[in-house]
Amino acid sequence: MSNDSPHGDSQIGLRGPLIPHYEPATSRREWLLKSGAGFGALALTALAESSREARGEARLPHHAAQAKSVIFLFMEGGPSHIDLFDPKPALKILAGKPLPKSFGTVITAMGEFHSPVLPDQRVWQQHGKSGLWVSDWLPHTATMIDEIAVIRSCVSDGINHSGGVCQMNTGSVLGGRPSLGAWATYGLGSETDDLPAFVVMQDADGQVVNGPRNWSAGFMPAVYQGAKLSGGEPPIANLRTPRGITSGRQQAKLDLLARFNREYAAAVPEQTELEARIRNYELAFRMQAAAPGAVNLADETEETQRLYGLDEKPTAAFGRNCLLARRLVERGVRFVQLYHGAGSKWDAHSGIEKNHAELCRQMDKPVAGLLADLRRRGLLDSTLVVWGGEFGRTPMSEKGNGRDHNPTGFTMWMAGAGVPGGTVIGATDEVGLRAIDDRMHVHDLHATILHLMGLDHMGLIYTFKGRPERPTLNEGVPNRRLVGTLPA
Amino acid sequence: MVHHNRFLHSLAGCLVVACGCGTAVAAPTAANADQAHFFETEVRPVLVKRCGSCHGAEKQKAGLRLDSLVGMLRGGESGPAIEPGDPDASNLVAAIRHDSWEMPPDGKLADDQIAAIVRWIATGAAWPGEKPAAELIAAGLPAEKETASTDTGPKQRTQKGTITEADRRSWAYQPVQRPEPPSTPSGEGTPQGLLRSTVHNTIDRFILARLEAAGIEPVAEADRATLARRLYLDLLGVPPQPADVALFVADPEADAYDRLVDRLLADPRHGERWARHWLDLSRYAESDGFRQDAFRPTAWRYRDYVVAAFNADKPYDRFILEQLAGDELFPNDLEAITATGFLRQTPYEYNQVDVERQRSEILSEVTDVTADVFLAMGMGCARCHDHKFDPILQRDYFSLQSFFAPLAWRDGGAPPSAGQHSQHSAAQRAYAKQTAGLQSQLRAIEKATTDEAAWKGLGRFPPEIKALFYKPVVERSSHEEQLVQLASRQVTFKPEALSAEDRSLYESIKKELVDFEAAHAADKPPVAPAMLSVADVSAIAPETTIPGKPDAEPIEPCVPTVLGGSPLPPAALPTEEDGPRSTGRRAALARWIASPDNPLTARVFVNRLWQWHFGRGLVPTTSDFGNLGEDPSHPELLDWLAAEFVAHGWSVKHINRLIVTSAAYRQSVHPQAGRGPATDPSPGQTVDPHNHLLWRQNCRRLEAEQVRDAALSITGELAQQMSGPSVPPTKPRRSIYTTHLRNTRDDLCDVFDAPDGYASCAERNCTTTPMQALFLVNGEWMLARARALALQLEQSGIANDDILVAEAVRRVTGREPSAARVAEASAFLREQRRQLDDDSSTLSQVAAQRMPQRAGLAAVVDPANPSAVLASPGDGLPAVDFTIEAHVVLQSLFADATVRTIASQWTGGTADPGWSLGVTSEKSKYKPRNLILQLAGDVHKKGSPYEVIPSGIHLDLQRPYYVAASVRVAEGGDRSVTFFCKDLSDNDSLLVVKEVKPGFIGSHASSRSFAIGGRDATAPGAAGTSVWDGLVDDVRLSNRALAQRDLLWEAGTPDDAVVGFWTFEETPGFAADASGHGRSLVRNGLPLPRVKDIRRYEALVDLCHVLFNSSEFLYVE
Repeated sequence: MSNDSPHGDSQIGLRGPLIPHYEPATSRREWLLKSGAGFGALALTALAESSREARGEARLPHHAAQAKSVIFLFMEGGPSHIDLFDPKPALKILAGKPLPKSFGTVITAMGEFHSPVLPDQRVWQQHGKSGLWVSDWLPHTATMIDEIAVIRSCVSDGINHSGGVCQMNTGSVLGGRPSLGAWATYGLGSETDDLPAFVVMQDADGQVVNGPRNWSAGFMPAVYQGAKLSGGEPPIANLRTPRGITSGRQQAKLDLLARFNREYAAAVPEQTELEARIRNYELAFRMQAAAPGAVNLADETEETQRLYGLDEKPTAAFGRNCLLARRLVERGVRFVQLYHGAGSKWDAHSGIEKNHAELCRQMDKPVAGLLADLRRRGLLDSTLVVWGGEFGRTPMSEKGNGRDHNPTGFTMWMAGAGVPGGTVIGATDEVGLRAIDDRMHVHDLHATILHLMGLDHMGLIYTFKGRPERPTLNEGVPNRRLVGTLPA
Repeated sequence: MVHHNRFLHSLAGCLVVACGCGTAVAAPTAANADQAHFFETEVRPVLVKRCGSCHGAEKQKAGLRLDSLVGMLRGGESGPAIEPGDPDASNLVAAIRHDSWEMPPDGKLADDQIAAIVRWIATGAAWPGEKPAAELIAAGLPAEKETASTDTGPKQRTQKGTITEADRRSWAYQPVQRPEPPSTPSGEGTPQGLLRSTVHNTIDRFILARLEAAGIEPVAEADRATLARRLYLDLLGVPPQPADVALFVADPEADAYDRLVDRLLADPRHGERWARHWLDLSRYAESDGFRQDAFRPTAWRYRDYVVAAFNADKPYDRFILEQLAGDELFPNDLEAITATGFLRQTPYEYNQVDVERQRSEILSEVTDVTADVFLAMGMGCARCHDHKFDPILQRDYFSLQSFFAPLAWRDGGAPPSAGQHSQHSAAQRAYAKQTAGLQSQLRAIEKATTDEAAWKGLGRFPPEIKALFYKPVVERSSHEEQLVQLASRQVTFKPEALSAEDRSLYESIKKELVDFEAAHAADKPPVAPAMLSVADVSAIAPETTIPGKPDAEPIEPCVPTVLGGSPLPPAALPTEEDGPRSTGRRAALARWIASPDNPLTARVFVNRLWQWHFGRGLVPTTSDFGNLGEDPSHPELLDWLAAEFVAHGWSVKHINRLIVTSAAYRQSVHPQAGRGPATDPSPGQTVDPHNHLLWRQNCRRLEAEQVRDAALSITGELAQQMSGPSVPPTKPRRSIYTTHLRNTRDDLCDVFDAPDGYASCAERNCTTTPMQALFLVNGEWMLARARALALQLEQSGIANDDILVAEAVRRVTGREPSAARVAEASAFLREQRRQLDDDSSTLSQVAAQRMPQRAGLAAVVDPANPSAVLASPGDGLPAVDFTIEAHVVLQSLFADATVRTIASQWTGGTADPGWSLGVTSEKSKYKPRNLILQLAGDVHKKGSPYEVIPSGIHLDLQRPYYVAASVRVAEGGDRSVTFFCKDLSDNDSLLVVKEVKPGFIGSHASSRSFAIGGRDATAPGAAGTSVWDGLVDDVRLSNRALAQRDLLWEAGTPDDAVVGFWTFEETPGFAADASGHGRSLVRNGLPLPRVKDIRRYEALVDLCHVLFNSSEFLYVE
């Protein structure tokens, strides 16, 4: 007898053992067959019988989870690590000169590899008890640095936005695979029964590179895909009753529909998804009631709103999303992804000073506010906050005053969920071109995030076309310092 | 045998259920659900975590294993670990209580963990998936399963680097034999003693033999109305009209069913339905994927090819040859060239400068998809290492890839090589020869230009690629030529950078060419259609080596090792005039695949046909016949069908006919059908609840396209037109003809699991989610169908409510409603009418859809429906200076010089004051696709009363743009019209700014309506002219000439200047003015449906909407 759980095979060592799991999926049918009851009874009991399913009860993780939820702050377009978290004094020395040959060559998206080095114009300071370096572009984030593990050695395979964003979301530079949020939802289920388990928001109306497939379920069923939430009304597409149709009319329609659908489901008892359809209309109805409340910020105090920068124009849009993220996590949403700079706004090929100054200003205070707010509400322990873009930027200049894409070495950070705050993981070379110590490939980042959520990236399996598929394409290892198996 | 109960999860714990994929045959035996749940949550985790490392598969300290029931019962050096039913007598309990051994050694278990294990033993030690302990003991404790603790599927292969005899013995690699069908079942030995033995054809003999052996009686045949709906939806993809059903139900002839099948198989809609199956497999899409996701305007030709192939019953072997090697084998056949579009469905990254990697990804993609689709071999894993489970070596992967190694993309119509010509292109070649000299002069100038400025885009590439680019063609290797061709897709020649002398020569040759074309327009042969096809880059194949092992021997094209491994030499190709142009490798591969002797090809395809009819293949993993797949449920039937398929000339319709005329296909879905008033479960329900043996038909949800096509067909909106370029999903054509963009998906397709076109899809998911419910019950699309159907019904003149609702049910569900159903629906109609007041009309819907690269909705402007033009009264709008801004996608031009209007306040009459922002069409003297502003002033004033101000900015079709015109024409000041344009699909492009000095002076004050997507329709002659085609979004009108910093694109907020802002979102309302000036839009001349009783109509809309939401509509029995 095979084990049918996606928590497939046994793992030893660091990841801890995996638990085979066999429970019949046919409880309803078994009930039917064992009870010997007439089929008429079925419709009446269908709802009660499936209530556990309908509650979207969470599943057992592989091991004790440190993070119940994840908030992934995606700086779309690729923020410059060497202007934010990874100071490189050598840039000032090499300013205006080509990169010394000893750094080797890489293929860059725009091809200006031989352009002179562009020194950063930042004032760097050490912050917090940990004394980590943060540039003057992020004064608010700097105040939270003791909560943050800065990963300076990230590596990706995508030299263009599409491949980079795709990989950071799905593990592959090529489209078609499920996103990390979808994997987490698949592995852990939902902790909320009136909101989607995986929610995506963006700050501006540009289309995120690759569009909705960044949060798609890929080859997995659509149920695991992210739901796009807007802070406005309606927060979810098609949430509102069509214009002109009164609630009484709508209710009568739903009642009639439920009667039709129950009758039909009773006639084909083997078809369990027929009942799921009925429940989904009920769930949709609950969402209709719950979602507007989740996005209504009226019950947040003025102080909280200010903490996220809602009172100032540059920070209001992203601040709102960060505050919504906290509210969603409070309500049991598993995976929240916030795009900042939607439409590759961080992509500073030219004029990085103006570009990054503005984007940092929009993002810095809301992000720091989010961390502070999570912490004071006791949510930071169970919430993993991940910050970063699809890649960093080159030490060489582009168009004189910009920087090209750099997937060979860049910074991301994590906070909360027990990750060691005030630490630096890994390092890039002297100019920030390549990660040289503790390289964290995207697969390693994903393995780490999943591990913190209680999932083993090698044990999380979905069978597609008969083959076992895993979230990190069978690669990657969780970073031992981040997941706490090595002292930070 | 492996069970892929992949959805156990969803069923057990998720709020939504997925279905449709393979589920396990075997049900748990000893452990019931409660016991299993208890064991899995309370017991197993403790055993695994605390005992497994010493007493598991890896180590067995003291000879003891605690990872299986047999292991526990057998025990170790100290005897059995457990005594089922008696915890106190169990060694295990003594150990964990620290009464004997102190286990686990690293710390006692928690009390509740101990209690759980005690309880588990006390209640009989039921182990999910295992026989009861007593039975195992009685059987003498059979040998332990080898992989008890890690029992997750097939074992990994241990023989590295080789293929063993055992590998070759797998069923899928054996030659197809034609088995003798079992004799017709006797009917003896079944519980009822009268097994229904309806045998319509040989298929049934195989099916019944298995059922008889299992003691299962198949259910009765479905009724005729059900069969009609099933057949129509399966074979045509649309439901029958009520009249079709009535005819079939009343047909007294014995062959009524067979005649219906023949008629449907001959119906051209059959190809439209069945092509979709193949397009799923061939990952068909009409855009590049990746960031830009550029539209592929000619991709539809491959889609039309597939539709035609199914309709013509093209033999499957020929279908294979054409798609893999049409260019090599049938160079004079345009259809076969079109077929190679199969190899062009690969996603494409338009700005990838690492072309070496790009080449490798492209070749791997076609390798993977070829193995998946034709051979059901999962080669992908072997790209990086020998396959861990299947007998596929890394060498096999690259051997298969080597057939594609010379691949080159062709976008033109005619075959590219000099030697490959149809008569069609021979004429073209003769024509082209006349200008060949001029063309080669042009090329020579280009090639001689090593100035990077002349090659826009080249600068981004690494030096070694640049060097290749300048290398003479004859000196490039095949591999290098491929890289240059890929790079060239990102490079354009800019004659502006030539020296003055060269440039003037260049321009003069170009002019000669233009003059020649003009002079010879009459004798120019018709141009072959542009399409996506492939060719070999040359007759010499680039070497294939395993990455990381460049020094190893090059890999040659061979049959996969497990199938013999013999070399597959290139095929001899049709003779060519000037030497070979192609390697013949793909032709050799295609012939090997399409051979009757290939053990996989026919089996794989008939299995897919079976899956498409029953929802599940005889081998459930239709794209994986390897060790990770499942074994066939009816191996003899599979082989018989494969043999029959080949024997009948690979006729797809022959197999389709056999399957749908079988008794197995015609069964009811109801498990009790034909059993009378039985209340006990039938043997089928107890023995084979998942219906693997096909004792009934499967009830299936409609696929996305079926949902859409069925709804449009039921409302009578569906256009009959076949083939041609794709249309937006807002148009009422069949889904197969709607645009499929990889990154901008239609909402309906999205919620109903249509594949995204990134990878071959062998089996669609079938999920039901709250988003789906919201789409169906609140979304505009289905509501619009309900309105259309209700209007039809209302206008049919049926006065009686009962008759009316019965007709509604009949049309939507295809079935005759019961009296109770009619009464229920009638009562609903009355109740909804009571709830309505006369003013609650919801009739003014406007079409909206997503714009690529932008979030939210955009207004759809359709020239076929000019009443969709949106307008607002013109009073108070700017009369002199102003700024108009919009986001647009243009889908087509007029064939003449008519302007496509973005926004206007004008009738189009030059003597009528006003203005219009638009784009020029084909015959415009300003050249096509030019963004222009038209200004018409007071004819009595000085200056120019009417002026066209062209921007010189040309918009591409199908591409999203932000456009704006900032107009300063007041008397006495500096006058200017500044155009702004930003290509939203290209993040690296800049905002284009063009300033033009107008002659126009002063006022263009007009009392006409302001209109979006057209002109004021109230003026005579203006309605329906100059209408936009495509999308318009976020339109803003301001009453002064805005500076760049104040533009929408720059997120400027010139609040005081804005007079109207239309965002087309649900908030503040689709047509509402978001600027707060109350200039909400109305539809020009909206023709309100003429209904006698608006309340009855609205109630009927509600009923139709409920029916379109119902499972009866969305499922087929």
